[in-house]
Amino acid sequence: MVAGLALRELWISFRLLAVIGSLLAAGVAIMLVRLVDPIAAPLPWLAAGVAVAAAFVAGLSAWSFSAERRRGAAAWLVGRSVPRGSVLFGWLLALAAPLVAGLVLVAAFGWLLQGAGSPAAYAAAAGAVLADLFVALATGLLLGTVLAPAPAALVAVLLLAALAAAGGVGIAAGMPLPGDGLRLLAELPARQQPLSDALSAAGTSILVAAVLLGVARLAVERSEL
Amino acid sequence: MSSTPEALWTDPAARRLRPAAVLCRALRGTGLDAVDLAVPVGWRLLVVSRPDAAASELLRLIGGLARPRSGSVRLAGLDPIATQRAGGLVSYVGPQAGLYGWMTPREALQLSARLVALPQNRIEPVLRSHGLLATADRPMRRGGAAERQRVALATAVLTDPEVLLLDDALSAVDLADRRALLTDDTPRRTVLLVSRFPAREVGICSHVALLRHGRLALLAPISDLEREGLSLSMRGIETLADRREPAAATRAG
Repeated sequence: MVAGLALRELWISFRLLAVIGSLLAAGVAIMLVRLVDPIAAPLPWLAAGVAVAAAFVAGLSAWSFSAERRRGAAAWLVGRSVPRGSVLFGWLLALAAPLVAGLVLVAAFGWLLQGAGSPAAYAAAAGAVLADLFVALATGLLLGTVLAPAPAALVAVLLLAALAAAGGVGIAAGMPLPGDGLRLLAELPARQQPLSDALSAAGTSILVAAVLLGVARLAVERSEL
Repeated sequence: MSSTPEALWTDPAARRLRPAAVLCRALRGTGLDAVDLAVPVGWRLLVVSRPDAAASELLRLIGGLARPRSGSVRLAGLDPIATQRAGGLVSYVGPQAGLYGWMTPREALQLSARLVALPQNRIEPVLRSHGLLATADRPMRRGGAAERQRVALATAVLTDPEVLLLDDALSAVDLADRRALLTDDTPRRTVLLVSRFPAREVGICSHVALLRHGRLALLAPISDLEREGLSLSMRGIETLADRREPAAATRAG
């Protein structure tokens, strides 16, 4: 029920389209690059575009959940015997739906542009990227449970940007970190064992997302509504 | 009679004993410093404070929307989280209605009823009594703040709560309507009402509490103000507290 309310709120306020649009923008970015350089490899640009979208999703989810607390909507539900954890997971489901839809669309677009390689490896890399996006979502929700809307969104964007930058410039090379899925997508044609790399990256990200959501679940029990 | 705390809510004999509906012991939170407060069943208590935010914080702690730094809150023996889980025993309406603008008043009431497993046939009478029949099927974003506040109050009383917590909940509603909405005929219901403008609560409340410097400085019947020739205003309430503080200090000494 909470997920349905949250989904309708996201739809009415255009945030649902913004999440899907941020991912589709990654596809548009590849097309623009291809206009300038027709032989440019699409996957690194796709990974970079999705990394930007991940930061946006983190900020949007942080802002959305924090605003939900601030304007009393979460308190209204909790006062009607909806557990605080259900409010949090309702918003998780509502934000995850457009995230999955957007990634499926942009991954299909990326595959059409790539046009070569193993479909299984590409699907596995896309799955690892989805796990990275769940880390972004969980980060946003955790910050949304403890901070005011604007600081929560800002901190979420900065955290995700720092993580992407660390991965991009090789600071965290060799360390299992969320974001490995994006790195794998960018380097997919050159990887020797793409399936095992994808599983490893997805496993790391799922574990990190689960920990973040567990902390958010504890934090929402103590947070002001 | 059952010995469980829930008996206080349901048993008429227990209500006649006028037990405490709300009991705060050494409650500390933002702007609150060891507040002790006992509100008997059926009181309609106006809560004012210096600074204003302390009274709101008190209501949020009682409603279980914020956690105290120390101390305890009991609502007829239950902690606020337990009353939230039970659903409908305590209703809180804050300055923000907390309702989605795309919802119609009827949808908001239907959702509220569904969440606490109430029959849907209770909705029409509540819509009527809150002056919402004409706009019942129009999204709330098309109405003003006053309409949202009416709907928030309607969803709060739909569950027939034993304790109603109102934090500046009808600030956008005009005075006459406000009085009509808040003067209900449910003697067992305990109402705690925070207001920035006490003069607007004439005829609505039976008692007044003043929080000053985070502590309870006054808890008195509204009639005491009249007896002392004071008006129901912030100045009048503070004057009454000032007059009583030396007497209380003498008694304590």
